Amino acid sequence: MACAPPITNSIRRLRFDHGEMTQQQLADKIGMTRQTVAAIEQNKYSPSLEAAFRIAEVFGVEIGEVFQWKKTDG
Amino acid sequence: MAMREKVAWICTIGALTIFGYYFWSVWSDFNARLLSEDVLLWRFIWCMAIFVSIMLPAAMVTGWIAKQELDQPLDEMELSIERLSQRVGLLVLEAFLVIIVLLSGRVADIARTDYPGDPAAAAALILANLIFLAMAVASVLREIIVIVQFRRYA
Repeated sequence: MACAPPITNSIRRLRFDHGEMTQQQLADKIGMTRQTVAAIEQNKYSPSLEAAFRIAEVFGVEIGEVFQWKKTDG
Repeated sequence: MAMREKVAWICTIGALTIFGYYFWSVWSDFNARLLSEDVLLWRFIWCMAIFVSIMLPAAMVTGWIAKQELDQPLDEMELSIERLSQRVGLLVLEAFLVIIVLLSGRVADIARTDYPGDPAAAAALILANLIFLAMAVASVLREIIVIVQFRRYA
């Protein structure tokens, strides 16, 4: 099984900060299924750049506030 | 559960049950040296009709219960899962077809020995069923990959 990508995200917190937005509501806003949003949130699936920008746009923040690169040693 | 995953479950279970029965019956007929074009053709048509008549309503009812649309466009994760399953399914199908071509000489020998009355028809029947089997295995494998991938991301 492929290991998780070295990226973390703050989608859960951002959803909470935006009136406890549900995964389904976020999914509807970015044109995805709830399952895909859940997979992105749990860091099991890396979204495309376009989807990442769409998510950032929904929350009205920069993409770097939603997704963070996890530095690896070496 | 995503609609595509539900459809994959329905397809897998339906195909394993119905086409499992069909290929088992073909194998039984082959062992009993009773292969008959008409019988197999009608059995295949019946199996296909039963498969479609179970699969379509099952998918529709499942979607209706979960209030999901059947023809919902796939999103990028679902498309990536679909691409992977198609690629593997196609590779498996190609490999099976090559094996069937390589086996065709052996099939002709078996047909000549077991069906001296009409070896050409028997060989054609066996080869056609081997191709159906390859297509069915590749399709089921494709759906299983869809299920596994969805479970991985769940």
